[in-house]
Amino acid sequence: MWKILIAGKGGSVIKNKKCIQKLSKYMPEASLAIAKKKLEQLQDIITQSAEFGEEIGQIIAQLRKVAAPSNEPFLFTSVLTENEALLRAVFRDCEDIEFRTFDAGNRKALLVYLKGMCDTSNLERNVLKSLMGQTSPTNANTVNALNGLNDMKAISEQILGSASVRIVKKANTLIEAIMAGNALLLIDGLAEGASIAAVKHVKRDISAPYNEYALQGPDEAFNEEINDNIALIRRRARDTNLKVHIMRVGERTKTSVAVLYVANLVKPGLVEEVKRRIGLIKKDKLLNSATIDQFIVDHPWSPFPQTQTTERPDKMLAALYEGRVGIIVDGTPVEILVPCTYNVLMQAPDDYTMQPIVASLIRFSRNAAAFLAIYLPAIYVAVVSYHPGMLPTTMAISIAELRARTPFPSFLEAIMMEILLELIQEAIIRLPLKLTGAASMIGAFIIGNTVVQAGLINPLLVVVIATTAISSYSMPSYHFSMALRWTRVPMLILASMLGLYGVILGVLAITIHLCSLRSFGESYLGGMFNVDLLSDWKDSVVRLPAKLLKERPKEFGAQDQIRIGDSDGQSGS
Amino acid sequence: MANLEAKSYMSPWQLAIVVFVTSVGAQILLSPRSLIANAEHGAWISVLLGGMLFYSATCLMLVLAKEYPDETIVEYAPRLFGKVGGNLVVIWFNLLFFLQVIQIFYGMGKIITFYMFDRTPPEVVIVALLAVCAYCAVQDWGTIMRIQQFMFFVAYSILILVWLASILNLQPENLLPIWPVNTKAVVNGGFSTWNMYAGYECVLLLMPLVYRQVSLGSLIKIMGGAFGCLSLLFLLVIVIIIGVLTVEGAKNLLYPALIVIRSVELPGTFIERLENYLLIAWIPVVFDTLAAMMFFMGQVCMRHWRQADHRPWVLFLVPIIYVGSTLLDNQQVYEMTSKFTMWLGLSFSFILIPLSLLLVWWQKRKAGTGCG
Repeated sequence: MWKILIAGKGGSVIKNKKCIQKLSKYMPEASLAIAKKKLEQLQDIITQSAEFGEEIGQIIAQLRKVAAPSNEPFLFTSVLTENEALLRAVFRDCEDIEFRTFDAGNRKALLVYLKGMCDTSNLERNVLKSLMGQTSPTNANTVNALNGLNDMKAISEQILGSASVRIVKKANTLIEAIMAGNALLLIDGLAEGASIAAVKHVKRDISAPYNEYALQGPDEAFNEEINDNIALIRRRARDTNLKVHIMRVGERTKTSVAVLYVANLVKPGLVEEVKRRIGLIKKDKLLNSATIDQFIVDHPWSPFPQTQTTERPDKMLAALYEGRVGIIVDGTPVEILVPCTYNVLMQAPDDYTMQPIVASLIRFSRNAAAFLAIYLPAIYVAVVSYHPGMLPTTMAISIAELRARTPFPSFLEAIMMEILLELIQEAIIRLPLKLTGAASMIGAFIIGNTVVQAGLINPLLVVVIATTAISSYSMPSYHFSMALRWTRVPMLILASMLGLYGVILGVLAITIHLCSLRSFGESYLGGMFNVDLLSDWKDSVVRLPAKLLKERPKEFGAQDQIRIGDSDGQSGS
Repeated sequence: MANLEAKSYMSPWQLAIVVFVTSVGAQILLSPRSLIANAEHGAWISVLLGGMLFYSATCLMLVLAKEYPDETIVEYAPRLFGKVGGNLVVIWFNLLFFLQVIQIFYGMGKIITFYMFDRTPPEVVIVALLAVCAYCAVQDWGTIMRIQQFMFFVAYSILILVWLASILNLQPENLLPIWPVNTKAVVNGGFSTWNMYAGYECVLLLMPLVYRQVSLGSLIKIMGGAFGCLSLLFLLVIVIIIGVLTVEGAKNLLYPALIVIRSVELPGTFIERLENYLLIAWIPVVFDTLAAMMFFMGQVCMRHWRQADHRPWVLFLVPIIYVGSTLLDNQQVYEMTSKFTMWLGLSFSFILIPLSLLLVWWQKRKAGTGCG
């Protein structure tokens, strides 16, 4: 028996009820449905309030624009307090923006900068001290300095000690400058600002490349800072023909993208085309060079990389001196080189630091590895399934014995091994560094031993797939090796359907695709066997000694084909 | 500027390679039997004679094409022969490619099913290759030209290397008598090698891309190199077949070249069943010819109907080619079509082209007279 006291409507109390009853029976407004409804109404009100607040903010911003051009948020006035209010409205809720007001003689001045992006000691030394010290009553030059405060140009020339000062009248430009890490100086009475270069932020030091290690040769690699990356190129070439054109990409991020080229070498029209394609990119943000890559290539659906990526400044410089164009993206250490052909993807930095004959042999083996990486599993499936007669009798018998122990057809076996291999590769890439060793061990153990012992896969296929994997790892370009991995599966399907005939058709289809691919007008594979470009073989199929590499590759159409006085022979990789 | 690559020209060496790869095609495996049956021990002389004959036909075509440097035969044929005559010439020209293409598809389907997939219908083999050829033919000429050069260096070197292995079984006495008695058969054989050399007609379409690069004299010399290589390759095939199988043996086999290579054994090596390796190298060679000819057919249609894109025509021709190749359903029909194509080709090269040159000469003379 339950005795429950429930406050009823009008404060009445019901006693000695025999069972639990709903509160809403006596207080309808306490029902769950009504409560939910009320809650939704409250949420609507909150949302509407937020939208209303935003709209009011926008109206205020529009009112503040007053006579500003359509592409400017506002116009600077000669009243500092008004300018400060406008800037504060723009940087509303940006608590990392510092507004530093100070006296510059008999006027108020304002320094605006982004905390963490600006070198404050530089500002103290070259701006604050200069302005506050030179215009203090105890300073003998105060009168002259005060006179100078009527003109921002004079201030920048006579008072400010900063290395780079730019006088700007446009609000948009100044806001962008602040967001880039520069400081903005405003002085009461002047309707213009000074953008003071004092960028200093946390960044990674120049280190060795992560993915393009060279046994011999320079170990410097690009980092995430565009200016450092350009400096790494500039430091290696004191050449005024080496040009840098900086563009902004990303409607919101306004990321800096530098286009580098050697003016008297690059193929006419190539730089303009690169700039045009970059200029056409419509995107809110640009966080890495891969995004640019996908926008500027001719065939974005192809698995094969149509731009060359590099972490090495020496490689980029060598490519620039072949008449190619470099693209450096702020915030990413992997930069882009165009045009890109099969030949340049097959070149590695070490090719130029070892003996030419050895380098030539390695290049040959690299090309053979590329072939094996795509076609070996398909050839295995085709021969085992359709053409065992092509094998020597003893080998055919031993393969038949091995295959008799496994329950699956060779195609399924191969697909299973491919999937297993891909999973292990993905796991090794994604795992923390300390666990990759363990994952590799497990992978090797599973692939190499357990699946064979379990009778799932025959050992010869393990050898084939392992050879394929190692072949794809030997590619100098990671993206190219990924493409090789991707093309293995359709080849396996063709081999399982039409045997060696299918493999040959697959080879032809891939050859057609590679010959039809173009990177900024240059054929991807076609240049390799073009009779008019056979002279390029000296640094593509083979690598001749440096003193014989007197000419630049013809396929990139450099204006000046002769490498005058160029004795290092380093090419596009 | 979507494409920086200059594709509006080709070098004379590239033209020579294109003529070479377009001509070789499937006939190195398909044609030797009929040639040996006709010319017997003099087949090698027929090959050389054919080379000279068709080289001279090519030279005539180059001279004719040089008269209309920026045009192909599709454009200048109506001016020479009138509207109806010109249309007939264009149809004749395209029919040559079409008939060759369907015969090659048929022959290739037979060989592949016979030696690689005995339980697979030839249609499956034909459709698969037709799809790849169509994919190639819908590309631009720059791409096709590169593919042809790629195959010239890769596929032909493998093909010749594998074929040369059959020298191991060569019995020089089988070649005797080297000098034949039946001159008429040899001459007839020379004309019948048209099937082997056919494809050189493409110069009538490609000349506008190359004429600015070189003088006519140099072009004729370079083309002589191409025909020299063709003759050498066919000579190698014919001599080895007779040397291994004898004339009587080769006459009774449908594809003697494959029997020759099948009989080769390389003891102590990994390689067995060499005919499979030869076929693997031969498929790209056949593909090269077919893709080029399909492209030429598309180009002829495109130019004749004054359109800007050849691709719809190639796609339109695909089912027609497939049906055409399946209509050649037995060896008799195939041989009849082959003979018809040969006469069509011979009359095109040795009647129509000289006639065109005469007309050009006459029109020029007439124009000169009119000017006073």
